[in-house]
Amino acid sequence: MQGKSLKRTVVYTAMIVLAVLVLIIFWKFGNRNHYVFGTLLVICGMLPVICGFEKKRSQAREIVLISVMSALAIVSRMAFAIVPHFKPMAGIIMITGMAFGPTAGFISGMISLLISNFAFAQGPWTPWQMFAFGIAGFVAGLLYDKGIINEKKRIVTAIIGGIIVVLFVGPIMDTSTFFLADGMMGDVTPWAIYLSGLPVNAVHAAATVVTLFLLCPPMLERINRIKVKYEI
Amino acid sequence: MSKETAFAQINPMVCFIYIIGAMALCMFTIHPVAGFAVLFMTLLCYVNVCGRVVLKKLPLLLVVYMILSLSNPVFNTRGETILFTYFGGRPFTLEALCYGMVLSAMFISVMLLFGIYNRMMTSEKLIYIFGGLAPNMGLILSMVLRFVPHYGNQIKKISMARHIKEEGKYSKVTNLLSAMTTWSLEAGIVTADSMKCRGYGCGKRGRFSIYSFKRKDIVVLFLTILLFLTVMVCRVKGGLDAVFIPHIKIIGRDNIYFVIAMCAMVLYLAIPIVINVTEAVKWYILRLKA
Repeated sequence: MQGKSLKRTVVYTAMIVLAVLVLIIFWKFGNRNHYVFGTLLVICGMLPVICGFEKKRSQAREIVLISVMSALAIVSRMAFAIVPHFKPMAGIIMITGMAFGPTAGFISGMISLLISNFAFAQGPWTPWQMFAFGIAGFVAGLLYDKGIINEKKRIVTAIIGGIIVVLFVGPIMDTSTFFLADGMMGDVTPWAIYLSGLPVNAVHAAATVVTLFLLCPPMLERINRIKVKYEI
Repeated sequence: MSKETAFAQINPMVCFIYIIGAMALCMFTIHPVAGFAVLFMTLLCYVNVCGRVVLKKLPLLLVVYMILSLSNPVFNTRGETILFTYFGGRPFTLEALCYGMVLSAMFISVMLLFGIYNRMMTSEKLIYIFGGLAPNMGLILSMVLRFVPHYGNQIKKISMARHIKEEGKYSKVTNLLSAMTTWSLEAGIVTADSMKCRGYGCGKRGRFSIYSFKRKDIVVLFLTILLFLTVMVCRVKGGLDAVFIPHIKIIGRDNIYFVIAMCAMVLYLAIPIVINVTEAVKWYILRLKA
């Protein structure tokens, strides 16, 4: 067991070092394609969490619970697309982070986006979306651990969820737009892209506030009941 | 859906590396001749892999291409040769137009490659790749793929059972999702305990796969890496250099690295076509014999 774990650590460390090396080589010799560089950077950002999750021998329950929450996020995105101003994806991912910890939130955010893009479309934006929603789950989990948000502070939680969307999810996805547009149109200032993305992000944030306000207390209550019942 | 093409049947790992490599080639090519050669080859590949139906999309692609190329000079006014001015003196330059045309060709090639990716890399192939590198992530992926349709059905059932109850739109959604949460988590715990009882997490871990690594896969992988490296080396040596602004300066035929890079690039993108066509010819001959 010890030997295998050590071997994995070595392999994963080698992977990350290799990724960084490839990045440096690209930056030095490529035509400084910003989109490729940025995307590789984002993937490098996801690697440590994935590796950490792979390295510890996870319990079956942990894996299944993350899958269940990701599937719920995806299904609610698809099933309630008709309900206006109700975009539950970010909300449910944040609730996952709050209930099962930052790592679980990050992974469920990544998986949800990856799989729901099979239904919509995979594109150059996929890694960025995965990272953005992963961060949303991660930050929500951290804040919950610090006791800043919880199911008792319904309004505060909802508003902080909205702030997370405006501060993290929106800008990360806008950055991907910026890199794509930068290649396409020549001189685009980043501020123009971030400003033009702001209305969309504001709508998304408002939808997340509504979702969290409605869903957070009942869902967390249900999850806590399950936690007590099965001693998780 | 038509049946899988011969190229889609090679090992998913090789397939994945190939497509990522092709995207990298596209994104690093700003040389006009190479750019249009790549666009032409990816278009051929796309038609070859996805069938002749996609030819209907060609006019749309052309429109997108025109819009993208023509919009570049609007945002980018640098360049020496001014074609005309508008809005009281804002120049529309030839250099920016050419740059826009090459960039749009690159953009459309990448989009076509994503089309090929969506067609060839089905979710089970992705699980195969993840399962090797990151077993836990692979397991989560395959579970989520199963849960999504399952939960969709359950949501329908619950909403049918609650149909008669009069409630507002939002409280309805909230109640539905709360019910779903309880149900899915309980079912999940049962699944997890059942997995544990059957010995999940003890002993050596195997994985299910229907894909083998054949000689053909090795050949394709070898060719992919070889051609990709050839192009990259030629790039570093300056074989694909092109400058558009302030005036156009591109590497021509007289540069040996340019010729090698072009050949390697076209060959790289021809791999799927060659495989598919060879397979088709083989079948044709077999049918003739029968």
